[in-house]
Amino acid sequence: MPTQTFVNRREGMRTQAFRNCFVPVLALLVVLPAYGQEPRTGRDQMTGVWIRASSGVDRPDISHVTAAGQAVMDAYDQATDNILRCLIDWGRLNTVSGFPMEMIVSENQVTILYEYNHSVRRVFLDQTEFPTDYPPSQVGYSIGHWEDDTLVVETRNLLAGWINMEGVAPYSDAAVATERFMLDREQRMLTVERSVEDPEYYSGPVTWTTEYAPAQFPVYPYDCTVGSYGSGLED
Amino acid sequence: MNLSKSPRKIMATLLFAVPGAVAGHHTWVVEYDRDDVIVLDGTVAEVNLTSPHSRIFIEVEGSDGTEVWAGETWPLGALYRRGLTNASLAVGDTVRVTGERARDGRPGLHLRSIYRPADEWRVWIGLRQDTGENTAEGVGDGVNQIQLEDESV
Repeated sequence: MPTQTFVNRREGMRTQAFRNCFVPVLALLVVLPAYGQEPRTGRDQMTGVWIRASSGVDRPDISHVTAAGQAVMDAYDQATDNILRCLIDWGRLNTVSGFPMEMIVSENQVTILYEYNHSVRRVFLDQTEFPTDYPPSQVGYSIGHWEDDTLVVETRNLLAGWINMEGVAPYSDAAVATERFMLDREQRMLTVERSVEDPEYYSGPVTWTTEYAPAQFPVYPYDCTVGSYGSGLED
Repeated sequence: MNLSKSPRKIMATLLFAVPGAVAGHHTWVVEYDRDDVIVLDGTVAEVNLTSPHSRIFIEVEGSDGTEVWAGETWPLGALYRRGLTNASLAVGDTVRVTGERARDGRPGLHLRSIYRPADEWRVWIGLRQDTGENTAEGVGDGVNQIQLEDESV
């Protein structure tokens, strides 16, 4: 029946046109709202590259240093400083300025990638107990949790190190560091309160606060080269 | 040797788009005399941008022949943010550099500035001028605005 065939063909074309137009539009309606949406929480917005907002170096008050801590400072010899062997400790990673850090927040881990020495920290969010068989390191072992949108991180398993350059503010391998990462979503500022408790070297916590702003540049390579310092120190 | 010793004063006004600093390792003050700023005219012999410290070697003609001076400076990333990249200088470029002389008498300096007269390219990579802190400013977004008022740079 030619007429019926024509009608069927026309219906078929309509159906096809409907599919061609409506389905993509429907898909767009489903997908588009996801674009341009603000991340749901401040946690999501911590992901990114951050740089210290203020100049200078953090120099926390260490007037409550113990005799043992003072003795370590008195014995400091820059010629044997690990930094000359491209080993940067947790303390100086977090007081030295100018180098950005990239934070990557995921469900079970926050990864912090420092430009300085290309140091990497993994903050485990799905753990509550520190392992007993994990080797100590310059950056230690970090466990974190969220208190609302504040990331609270505890770090142990640190090798003995320094908070500042030039033999200032040592900490022992028994030190416990606590950090609170707080994001001001409106100002896009990240405030980090840091505290080191080390009863052997200090009669109370050593604390300092650093503010970070979003960095407008990439994280550059830092291929640390032993011996690239001035001639005096590697002699 | 075309070498001008301090107190040739470098008047610099630094305007920074984003504040920031790279803390120097302790070597700066230990090794270089901030009160002994020198100016060198020469040609670039080698550029080695690396971390933690970069070096730019300058050949300087003097009455006793050619002397190679080692200009020590910041790690690669800090230099890139200040506008000094691997593409900035080429071996053979004629430059004028300023910096703090090495205390031990070797031909070395901690670089403060580099100026290439051929195209008037210049960069400031010195220490902070305001606080005297062992840090360097101007690592914000690479838009390090510099007004060097000294006639040498």
